[in-house]
Amino acid sequence: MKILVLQLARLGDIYMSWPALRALRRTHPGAEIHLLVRPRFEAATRGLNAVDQVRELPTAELLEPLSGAADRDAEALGRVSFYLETLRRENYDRVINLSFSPLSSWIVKSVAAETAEVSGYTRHTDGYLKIADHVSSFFYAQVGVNRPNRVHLTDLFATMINVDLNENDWGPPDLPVKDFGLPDRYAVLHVGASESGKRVAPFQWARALRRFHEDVPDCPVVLIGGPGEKALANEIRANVNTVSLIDLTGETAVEDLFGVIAKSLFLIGADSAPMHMAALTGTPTLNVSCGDVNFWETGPKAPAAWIRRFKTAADFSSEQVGGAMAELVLRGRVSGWIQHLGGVPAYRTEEKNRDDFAWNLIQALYLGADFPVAEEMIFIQAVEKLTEMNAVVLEQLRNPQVKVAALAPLLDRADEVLTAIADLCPESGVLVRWVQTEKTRIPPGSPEAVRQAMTDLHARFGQVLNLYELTETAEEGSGHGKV
Amino acid sequence: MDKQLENHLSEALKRLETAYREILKSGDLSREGEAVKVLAELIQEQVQNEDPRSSARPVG
Repeated sequence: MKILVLQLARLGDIYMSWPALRALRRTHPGAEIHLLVRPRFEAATRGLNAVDQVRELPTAELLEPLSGAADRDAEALGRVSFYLETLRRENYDRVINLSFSPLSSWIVKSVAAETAEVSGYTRHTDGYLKIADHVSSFFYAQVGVNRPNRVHLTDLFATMINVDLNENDWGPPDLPVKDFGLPDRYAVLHVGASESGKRVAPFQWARALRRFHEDVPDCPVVLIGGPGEKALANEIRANVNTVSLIDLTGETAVEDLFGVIAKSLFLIGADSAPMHMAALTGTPTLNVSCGDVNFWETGPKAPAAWIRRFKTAADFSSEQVGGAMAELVLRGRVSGWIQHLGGVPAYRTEEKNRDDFAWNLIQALYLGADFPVAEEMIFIQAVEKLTEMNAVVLEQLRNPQVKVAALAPLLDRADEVLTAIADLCPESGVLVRWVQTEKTRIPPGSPEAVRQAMTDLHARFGQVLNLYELTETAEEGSGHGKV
Repeated sequence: MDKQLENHLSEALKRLETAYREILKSGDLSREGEAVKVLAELIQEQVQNEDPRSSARPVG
């Protein structure tokens, strides 16, 4: 069997895919597995023995003809066609798209044979998005920043590949460990972040380090990061003169960091690739998570890991962070931070989260849990509006006098109304995105077949909404039970 | 990204989207149409400062 896996996202996403890829190899020992990545992030595949061939999407080469004023569209298209044909000729039996993007959906459509088993985004023959499986529909509807999903990407990838992860799927790569002359005992600080909005300022890190060394004076800290983060490291060092710092920023290949992180007492840093590398080495991790991040999806997965959320990097507390670093070394744990416990969801937080209801709704829709009791009147009111809209749609769908061609503008308008309701009441967005995504999954077909599929879908939607319908005899809250 | 390069790519994107609409008019999607869309999406990522992880982007 020949399998192609697409992971066209960034370094951290590739590392988060390692456990699922290893599980794929474990369950398909005789398969030939190819992994398609971007050249910029190829380093995150080094040491991943689970795949037989790493292929790089030659973006620069494909776009080069379009970089000037001359019309060389035909040449660019020729290069793309040739490239897609080389993938097509591999005749993959299975194509797994772990990149949830328009580009990846088109590549899958183009290279997957008609008989291939496809998971993830692809395209219908009419060019519209085809969401091939339930995991992808969940991803499309509920995953992302500012959404209430609490399933970690590592677990989503494994579910999409239809594998159960075990401890053998974690672990560092089989690579020679480079000796940087580090002491026997040290901590690691990643000075950068995957995006500037997530980055803590150097002076804040410096203060945190000084606080750390008030309690743990004998622990050097190794600074890691790419060449572009050297200036950050220099600024940290300029602001810290009481702490032993070893600056490795810009001195390491990405894969060298595995050895550095594996031998450390702990890694601390923002949301970035080293955090996911620490998950593979099993190194205790402190994640300082700033800005727009859904930590449930992309947080640290080391067995001992903790997260501290700051709304913005400016809210960073050097006292809290430095104190937590010391507590981890002295007591082996961190109090008051979000803790990684494994499982789904993977973290425990002491704070009551305003997304709890929305997450419970997600579990009901996708995992068969009981529908949660609604406590907020705004949600009940949103459901009322959704119910009214849904009733209008169903009436038209079921009316044989209404021609199929006349339904499209109605359905478009209904979609706009649903989206507007979800904007006003984010919790209802879980329901709205669910029905909108399921609509997307209706395949091309005869007008009558599509009409029937839409009718069935809106009938199911109505059943869910009905759980939250206030009646004259309703007592304590509304909504409970299964559909 | 260099402004001139961005302009070239944006112009190319418009041409490709027009080409795609013409291809669709002729019936089902062809290999040519797929190649056009792959190229268009590659450009789209560049002019939007390449966000290869687009978990919440609308996919139409």
